[in-house]
Amino acid sequence: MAIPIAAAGSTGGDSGDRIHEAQAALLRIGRMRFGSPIPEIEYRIRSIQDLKQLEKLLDRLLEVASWQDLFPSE
Amino acid sequence: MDKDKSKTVRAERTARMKLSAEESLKRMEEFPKRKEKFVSAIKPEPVYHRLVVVAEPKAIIWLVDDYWHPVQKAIGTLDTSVLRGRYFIELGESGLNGVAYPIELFDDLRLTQDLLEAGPECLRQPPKLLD
Repeated sequence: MAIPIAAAGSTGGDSGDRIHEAQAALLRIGRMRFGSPIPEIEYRIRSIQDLKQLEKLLDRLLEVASWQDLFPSE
Repeated sequence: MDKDKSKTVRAERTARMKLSAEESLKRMEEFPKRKEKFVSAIKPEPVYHRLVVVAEPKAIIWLVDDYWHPVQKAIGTLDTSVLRGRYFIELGESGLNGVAYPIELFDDLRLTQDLLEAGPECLRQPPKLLD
């Protein structure tokens, strides 16, 4: 199911704003559950410029148990 | 006695006034570091509480924050730990487009579907933009 977050959607704004919004939502929601991310993870989130990828991460964030689970080692 | 005290105060003030330009500049440069140290010392630690929501075994439970952003999803039982604050619980397979049950999480909390459905409810709002 697609998550209707503001970043994904209906509130308008250009692509850069939506990317920024999705990054902020990821960090905010993650902090609520797991505390502040380590700087590497925060940097990684802030460096993602692909909205689709950010939306996938937001979907995954609903089910993972830690920041590390969000980015399993590749 | 009082005279001695006033002498001390006067002496301190004089010493402070005698700071050289270099010393003043150095102190000004150090100010952001000292401010950061002070702010981090008074910043409260985030407080997390356990939240358990038990619903029908196949029910999809959505935990939604006060900006109407989904935070966590579970089936049957949601057992999590989140920052204290205001949240909404939504139930059902369609999820996220129906009735929401507001909760205030200021301590560990255990809720059942019956308890939620007997309590206050509201209609889901569109997600708010973050600042």
